[in-house]
Amino acid sequence: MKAGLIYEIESVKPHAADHEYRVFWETMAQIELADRLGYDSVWTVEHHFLNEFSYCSAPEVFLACVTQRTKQIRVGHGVVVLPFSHPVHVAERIALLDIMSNGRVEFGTGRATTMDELLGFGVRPEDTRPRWAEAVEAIPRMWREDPFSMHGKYWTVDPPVSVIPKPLQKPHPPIWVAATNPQTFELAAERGLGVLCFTLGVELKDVAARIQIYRDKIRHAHPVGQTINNQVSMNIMGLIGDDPRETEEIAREAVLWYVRKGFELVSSVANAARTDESYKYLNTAAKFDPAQITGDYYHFLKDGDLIAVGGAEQALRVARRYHELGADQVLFFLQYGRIPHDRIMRSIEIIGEKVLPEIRSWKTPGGIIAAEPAARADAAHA
Amino acid sequence: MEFALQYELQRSRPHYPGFQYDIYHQATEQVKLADRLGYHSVWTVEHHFLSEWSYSSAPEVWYGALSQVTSRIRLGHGICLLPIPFNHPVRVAERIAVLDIMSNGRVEFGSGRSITEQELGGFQVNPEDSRAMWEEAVAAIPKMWMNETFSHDGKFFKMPEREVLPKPIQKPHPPMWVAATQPVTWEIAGQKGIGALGFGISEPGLLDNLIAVYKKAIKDCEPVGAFVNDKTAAATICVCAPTREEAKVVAKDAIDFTTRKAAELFTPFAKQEVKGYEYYKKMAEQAVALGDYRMSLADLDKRIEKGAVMVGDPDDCLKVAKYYESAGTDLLLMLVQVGAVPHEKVMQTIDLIGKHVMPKLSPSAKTFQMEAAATAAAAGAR
Repeated sequence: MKAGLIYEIESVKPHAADHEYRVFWETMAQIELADRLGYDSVWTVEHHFLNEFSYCSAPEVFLACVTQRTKQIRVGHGVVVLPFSHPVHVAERIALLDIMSNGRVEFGTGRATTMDELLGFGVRPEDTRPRWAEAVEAIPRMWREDPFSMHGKYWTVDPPVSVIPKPLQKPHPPIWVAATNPQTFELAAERGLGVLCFTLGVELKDVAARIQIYRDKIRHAHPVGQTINNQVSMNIMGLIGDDPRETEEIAREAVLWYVRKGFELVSSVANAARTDESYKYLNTAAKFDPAQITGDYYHFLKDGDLIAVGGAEQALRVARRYHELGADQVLFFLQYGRIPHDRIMRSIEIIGEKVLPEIRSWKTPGGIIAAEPAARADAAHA
Repeated sequence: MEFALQYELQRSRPHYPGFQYDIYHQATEQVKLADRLGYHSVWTVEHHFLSEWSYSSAPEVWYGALSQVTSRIRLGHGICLLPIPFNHPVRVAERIAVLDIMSNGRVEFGSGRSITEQELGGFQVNPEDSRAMWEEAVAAIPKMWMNETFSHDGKFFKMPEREVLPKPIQKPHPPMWVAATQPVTWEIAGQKGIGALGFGISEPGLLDNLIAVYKKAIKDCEPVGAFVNDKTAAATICVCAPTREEAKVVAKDAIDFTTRKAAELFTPFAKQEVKGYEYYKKMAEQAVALGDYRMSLADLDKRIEKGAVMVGDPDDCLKVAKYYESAGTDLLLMLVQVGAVPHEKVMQTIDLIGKHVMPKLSPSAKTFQMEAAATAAAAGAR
């Protein structure tokens, strides 16, 4: 099994004058450490306008910086929000990031799950999924077809063009989609895409069921790319330290802050007057009253192995649970709430030294195989 | 006058496998050399689909990488396309801010509207709207940087109140510029109080008039940013070698290529009347009339004497640089990587200009070092 890190790039109030500068450079230092310790990958989100929750609004720039300060770690978009950028520009950015990183890019895709972002960019909730579907089919085609053209519902490229440069990895970087919603696991499988589970708060038996559906369906994939990326990645929120009790004290408040804030943000879509059926699953989140997210909820997460807090054995135990569920990769999520930089560095170090070697010895069911892209009924035609 | 490198990230045919990788990794080495030699800045275009002419479709990604392997040189978007199908203004504001953070405040923000039919067509931009789209975005972006929240109800984009994050670290914001090819754009640059990046100037004599237009307009400007960036820059092809003969041999094919290719790129505008692009019709007609013209070495000598190209030994180049300086140019944008000029010849140009031309003209070697020291001190203080 592979292991990496995932970042929102958070900074909780009260804010010092240079807080944005600090959080970006602290994150960079953490990633450089992870690179030296042999972590497989680092991933960053793309979020806009979400003060405190995420400052990572231009991951294409930050990840490009990462490519020059690291040697081996893979750099992942977790994810690019496809409805917000022209698909041609996304294809170009991913290709160049691949060139500058010497072929270390993982291309995660998604559609946004907060009203703040959707309305900010003037995208209607009911359009996000079809926009994502149109772009995720077109982008790998831009890498293999030259000249390229498309006539979609949302984007038209005509007369035909050469989308340049091309990615370094052949046939192209691995493609993933962020999945929270059970239905997205199916959409991923149908397209031959890896799934990045953003399922915080979902009980593991339910996650297991979704993974099972994914594995069943992907055998009959109509891939959008020239590979089938049959991989499941799961996030492990947590904090690992030398003194488990003290570590827990620090982590507890941060976990609760993150969960409250996260639910507040995603519930905006579920509760919006005009939303789309495909966002209704977030109602489970919307049901939570932030005031009720207290110690009990923390214990629900901890007892359910949905977070890993404490000593190295906690990280190992949760990773093993996820491995048993069928994950191919785990991403440690360590930078959230008010957890100080030095604690995150220490977590990365302990996990890197004591947990990583074991995790990486575990065999996993998934992998990437070569495939022929398939004609899809919902594709924008050339 | 300051010295800068200007990149199209070009490679004329014949191509070989891996040439796109080489363009980027070689240009990165070139910029690292320029950084060591104290060049003021490096500038890069944003072009899409223009095989041979430019592989720089995602300059924000290359700049992220450059910011981590250089320490003093400023990073200029020369330019970033603002019509909304290319880049949403919010995404531009975010990317520039992250780059400013990660480069310790070294960003120069140049913008423009696109001048080829391939690009306008590929992104479905109505050429008649491109200038108005640029104007709307260029006025909005500095507000996104300076104000805690931003909302907008314009002709080409609307958004409810949002916090555009993060903010650049240069205060009040990075210097702003616009690409100016036709005289009217020099005037618009002056009116808006932003720097003019002069492209397509066939000889320094023509600059006097353009700079006069700019200086007149800037006197009564209504600045779009928080300060007036009263600066002009001019671009010229530059090949420097120990002897003029050597430089001419290297430069000749590259100059022929750029002449021929520019004609090809503007040809669509020669065939029709497009509102706002009439100037390019004239340029295209002239270029097309040249046909498959190949310059003789004697012609090249004439152009060197006129200062139309910065080609020759260091003394030749110094003479041309002096023409530009006497015209009142603040920044000389040297196109050193053109056609198929080999990497080692580009390195030679950068080295010779940096060691034998810059010190004789740049008044600011000292100023520059002070600026660099101030930046370093500021970075250290953080």
